[in-house]
Amino acid sequence: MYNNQFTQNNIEVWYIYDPLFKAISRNSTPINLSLPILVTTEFYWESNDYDRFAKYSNFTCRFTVGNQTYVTAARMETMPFGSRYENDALASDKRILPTHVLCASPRVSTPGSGFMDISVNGIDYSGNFKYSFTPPVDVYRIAPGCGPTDQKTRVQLVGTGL
Amino acid sequence: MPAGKNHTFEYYDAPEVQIVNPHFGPVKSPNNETIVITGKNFICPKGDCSEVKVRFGDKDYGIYVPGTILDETHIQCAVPKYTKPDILPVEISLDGNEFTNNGVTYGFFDAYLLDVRPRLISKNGGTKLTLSGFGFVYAGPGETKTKFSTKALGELSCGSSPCINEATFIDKNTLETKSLP
Repeated sequence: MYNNQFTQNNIEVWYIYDPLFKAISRNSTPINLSLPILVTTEFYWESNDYDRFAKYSNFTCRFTVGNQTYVTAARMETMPFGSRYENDALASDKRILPTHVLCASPRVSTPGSGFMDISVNGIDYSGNFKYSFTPPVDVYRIAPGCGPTDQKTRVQLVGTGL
Repeated sequence: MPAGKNHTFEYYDAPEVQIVNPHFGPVKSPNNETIVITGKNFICPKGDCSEVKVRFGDKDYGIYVPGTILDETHIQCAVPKYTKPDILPVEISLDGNEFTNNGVTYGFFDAYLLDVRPRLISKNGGTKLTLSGFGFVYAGPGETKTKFSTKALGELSCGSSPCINEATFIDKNTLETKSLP
């Protein structure tokens, strides 16, 4: 509005019931690995519109460790894992609606503990799950270095973060 | 220089533009709007005020209009009929040649909203919304507002008043506001 006159451009936004993020499939990752994290989610599909979520959502996961913040892209996911793409093509009355959010952990520079939050729109976050980044996983040596094909040779891995 | 010839060069205190009032108005200046420029050292060199000019825009593509000195700190001029929304620096010259370079701006507004992000907002309100479009100007604290309506019901009520919230000017293409519950 300027000079008491509003524009008439009618850009639509939609109020939603905030999904409830219930649990995460892992609460720590090594700092040098990006691993998938499944977030069990109550989407309130009886009140929220799936098609609108599919079109306009901007799911993101945010990891806060000290004063460092990392944001990774996320998406809604149906179970069994990966069936979302077939699912989207189905008629709306036959769809299995998503029950999870899938995102990846970020690679970070130093180990530490903090919190993980999830956002539907990339702006408003909730969840507040405790999350930690552990020392990097690295394998220096495998012993023994060889074994027969017909035996179950016990192999020892030497490294860090194991 | 040949002997016996005397040339003079007169220095005058450099003028400075500090405030433009009003600092925004509609494109094309439909009501022949005028502005008053406040600053200092608005004194005509050698008493000749015929060359006082005001420039809207930069040196290469500026629009020049004559200015009238009201007193040492005020110049009045007409707002040019600029045809597109934009924010232009307003500079003045007392001799028609040397212009100030103070960067005080005048905004030609014709607000048009193209997009709002995010589109999904919490019913609890408080979501930071970024409005993009063109023709936005800085209108002063609390002067730019956004209104929330519904397609089905028209204007929404927040308590006893319309759902109107203040918006923050970011640049001529961007405003920010917060959603209401």
